[in-house]
Amino acid sequence: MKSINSLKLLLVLISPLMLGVMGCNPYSQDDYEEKVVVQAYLVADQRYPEIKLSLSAPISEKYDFDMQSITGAFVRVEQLDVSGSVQHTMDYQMLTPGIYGPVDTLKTVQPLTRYRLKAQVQGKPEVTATTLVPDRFETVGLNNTRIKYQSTEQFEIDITLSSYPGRQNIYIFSIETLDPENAEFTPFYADVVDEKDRADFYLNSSGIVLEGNYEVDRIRNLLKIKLPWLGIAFYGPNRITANVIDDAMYDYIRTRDVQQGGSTLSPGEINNIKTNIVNGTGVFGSYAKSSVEIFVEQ
Amino acid sequence: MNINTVAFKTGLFITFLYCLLFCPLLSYAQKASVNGYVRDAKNGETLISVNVVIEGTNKGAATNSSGYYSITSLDAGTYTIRVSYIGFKLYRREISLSADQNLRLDINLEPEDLLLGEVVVVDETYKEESRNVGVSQIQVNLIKELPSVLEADVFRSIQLLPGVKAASDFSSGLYIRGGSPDQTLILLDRTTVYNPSHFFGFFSTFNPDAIKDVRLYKGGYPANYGGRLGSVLDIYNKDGNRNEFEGTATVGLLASRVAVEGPYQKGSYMIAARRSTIDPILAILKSTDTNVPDRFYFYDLNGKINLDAGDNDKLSLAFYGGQDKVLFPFAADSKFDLLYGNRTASLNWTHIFNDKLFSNITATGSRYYSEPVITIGGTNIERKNNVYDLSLKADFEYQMSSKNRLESGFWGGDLVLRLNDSFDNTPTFRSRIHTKYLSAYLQNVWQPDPSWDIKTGLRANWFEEGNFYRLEPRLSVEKKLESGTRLQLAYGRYTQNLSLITSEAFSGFDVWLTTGTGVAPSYGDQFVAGIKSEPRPGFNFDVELYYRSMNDLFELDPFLPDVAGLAYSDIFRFGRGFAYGFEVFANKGFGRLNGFLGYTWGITRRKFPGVNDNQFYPPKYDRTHDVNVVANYELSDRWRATGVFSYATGQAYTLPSGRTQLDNPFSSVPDDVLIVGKLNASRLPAYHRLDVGFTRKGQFFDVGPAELQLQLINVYSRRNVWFYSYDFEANPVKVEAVNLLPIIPSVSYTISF
Repeated sequence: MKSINSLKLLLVLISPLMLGVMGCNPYSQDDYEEKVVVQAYLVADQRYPEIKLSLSAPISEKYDFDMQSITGAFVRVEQLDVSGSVQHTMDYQMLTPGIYGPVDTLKTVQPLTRYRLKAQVQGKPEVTATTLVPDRFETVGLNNTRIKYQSTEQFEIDITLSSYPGRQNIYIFSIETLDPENAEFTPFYADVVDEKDRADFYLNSSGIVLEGNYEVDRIRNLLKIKLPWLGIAFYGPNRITANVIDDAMYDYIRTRDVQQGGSTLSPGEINNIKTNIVNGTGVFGSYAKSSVEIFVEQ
Repeated sequence: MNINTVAFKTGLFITFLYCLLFCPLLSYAQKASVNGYVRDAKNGETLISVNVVIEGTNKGAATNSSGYYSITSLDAGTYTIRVSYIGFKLYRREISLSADQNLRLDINLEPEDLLLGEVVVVDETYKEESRNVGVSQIQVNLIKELPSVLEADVFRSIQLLPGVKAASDFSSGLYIRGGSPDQTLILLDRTTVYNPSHFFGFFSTFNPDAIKDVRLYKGGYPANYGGRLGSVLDIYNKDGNRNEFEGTATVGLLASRVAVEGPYQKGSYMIAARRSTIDPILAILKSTDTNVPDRFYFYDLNGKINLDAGDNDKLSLAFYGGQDKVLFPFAADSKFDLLYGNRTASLNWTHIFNDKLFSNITATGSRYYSEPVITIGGTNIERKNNVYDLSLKADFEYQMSSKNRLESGFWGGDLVLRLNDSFDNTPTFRSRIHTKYLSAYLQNVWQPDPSWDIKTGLRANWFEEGNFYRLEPRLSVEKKLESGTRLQLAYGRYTQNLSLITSEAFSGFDVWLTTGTGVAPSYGDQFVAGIKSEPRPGFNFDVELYYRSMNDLFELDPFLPDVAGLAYSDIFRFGRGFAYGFEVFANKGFGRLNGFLGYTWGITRRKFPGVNDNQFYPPKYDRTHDVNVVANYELSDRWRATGVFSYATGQAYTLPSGRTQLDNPFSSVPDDVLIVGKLNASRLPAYHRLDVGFTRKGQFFDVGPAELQLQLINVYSRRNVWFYSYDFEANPVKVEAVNLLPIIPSVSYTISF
């Protein structure tokens, strides 16, 4: 009898707790919120790029850039000095719905310079973002312009060192076929890629690679990069490009990659991309690049 | 605090402890005592947590993890000693003690047929340790009887207990009271196992044929354990039959097992082996389909040799070796080649100093290795990941009086974590962490009268990597009412110097990381309250409430694609967490129909800077309600039916609300980007599954008894959802459920000889 009384007491004590906590759910899914989407990539020593402005779409609806494009926005890019004061303003004009081009098509983006985007979209708070362009660098050596695929010798390029304040350089290496219509797939890509999807691989890239992976020649200020055969999708003429990216692109690309899977997050746990856009999403980033052309023999 | 100060203080602590232990206590010079080992009469295995009581007194004891008991402070006289343990017949014997006599009495208990034996109501002065606060025990026989996916598994069975959750049907990982798998210390014969998984995490490395005891400390664990924030899973291999040679052989769909054990002149031995046996099936499939691995196998080898060096000395050498190998050429110039496994060994010495002092000293060695080589398009991506852990541990139990037992010990070791990565045959990352560690504890068990049990303890830890010194107080209080109901409270502070990089979907790449410069140990507090009752003989009804905090959690930042050149502390993210809930466990241990029901209501949350707007969020394995029902029914002398029904409310997941598309300057293809709100704020559909099994007992010619097990997993083929995938080839995005296991039949045949 005493044990039953203890049991009853226990049930009486925990029942309110059970009813109380079962009934409430303070952490519930929030509703869709439309966002202004910015896409712009400044490249050191190249002309000011086009800037794309659009709106996001609900997950359940069709996505079409033309339908989501923003028209009539007032867009400018400011070049800042080290104190943050505006040195130069580049105005933009709408070329086609959602795509804005610089008014001055000759002026170039300067390395190690900070730029600020400002976009005023009707009915939305002002969208802003800043980027610091990495320093320029160049390709100064290539061991061989023609190498047979999967031979023991691999393409090796020597590049000078870029720089970015406060951290090591962050690279992405891309390989682009220069004969997309006629080039043949290398064996791995031929095995895993449908011919109808070949255009998806005209431009292939490595993913983020930190400079800490390499032995840096500080005396000659050089870095030697060996191109893995994995990166070559097509035989024939290809362009290898070394790209050094800024913080905005680093944050965007690494969080985008996690969103697509492959990290230690549990399946179903999805993060937002990390964006430098204030009052919006997307990326206003910059990078420096240098290229060299090779030929991959079959 | 520098290392010399740490070493000095630890040494002083231990020295004081030994002086205390060995100091003669004249006040007990005229008292008698009785002590010894309790064993299974059938096979000679020592039995843990057996109740040994002197009738008519308030004196008694429970056997420790070596099966040893000691009852002291007895006046001269004649007594009846009574020994009871579930599954065994009651033992009673009259003993006569003279003043100052130390009677050595080793006891053999006869097994009881639980189906037909009566439930005997005994006035239990001393309780089963297995029903201490936060403790759960699972019978090894039950593990082998439960319906299981392809292979009987210790971890899968543990996942049925309240407070323990599974991430998915594909993972045997233990998520205990809101903690991740690395917050549970896993011991095999007192040795740490660093990656106890086979077949990509599908089931554990513990061969049920080799296991004697499985004890889970879900929370509030005592001071003799440490090193993990949450829980301890303490597993012991069998010692081996001391009376006669015997063995079993099992053939199953995925793997086969064989185990032999027996006595020799000075002791006993046990050897058990398990290996996958799907090689012929793979060969057949490969002849018609190239998308089949060239090689896939796993194996386990467990062994133990016991030596009775004397009445007061026992030595045992236990070892384990297990490995998984996969070789899968999946495309031209491409293959996946993985080798991973564990090796453990322990040399254990138990020594009875006198009727009051018992010791257990163990030298352990553990190695975990994982060596994947992935070749894609002729480019090699390689990793060599090794963990080496050598240690020495000692535990002492000193029965100061009939009311006081002092426990103390230490655990010191040398840990090496080596990680070498290379890409395209060029080293890209090299890390070697070599650290020493040392813990010491002191714990007092005080029973002012038989209805109270008060345990106070203190554990001190030192970890060389980062030179961290931590103190961990522990307290548990139990009051036993006249009805037998036990009211329990416990508190403990716990620290952890290790963190695991793992994947819920695949455990073959697990990597352990340690504290270091700029990376402090994580720590947390646990509060547990429980009521354990036996409303009717043979029926247990337990309720436990818990709360846990988790601070300074450190884990590899999942948003770092490459860590080369980064400072050690920069590769981590640091956060916090908490968990609370209550568990109900109802168990019927006797009769034709027996089994248990476990229910858990639990909440767990995490918070990391820069994630979810710096707000707490539920990790995926947060499941509010979790119910498991296990039932065994003896249909006849030959047939037994077993059923398991599991129900759980949905796991947390993130529901994307929007999408966009961004140009990618490094790809021909634009990026499809999801836009999400709160992290993991949605819930998957509820999970439920019914598994049934039938066992037919028979005879295999003249060899011996045999059992045929027929099982059906997921009887009604419920397509539980694992996660949702988003197909951007379709517009709008097509959301598809990736499902867990469908209905799966399983069959195995076991012969005993």
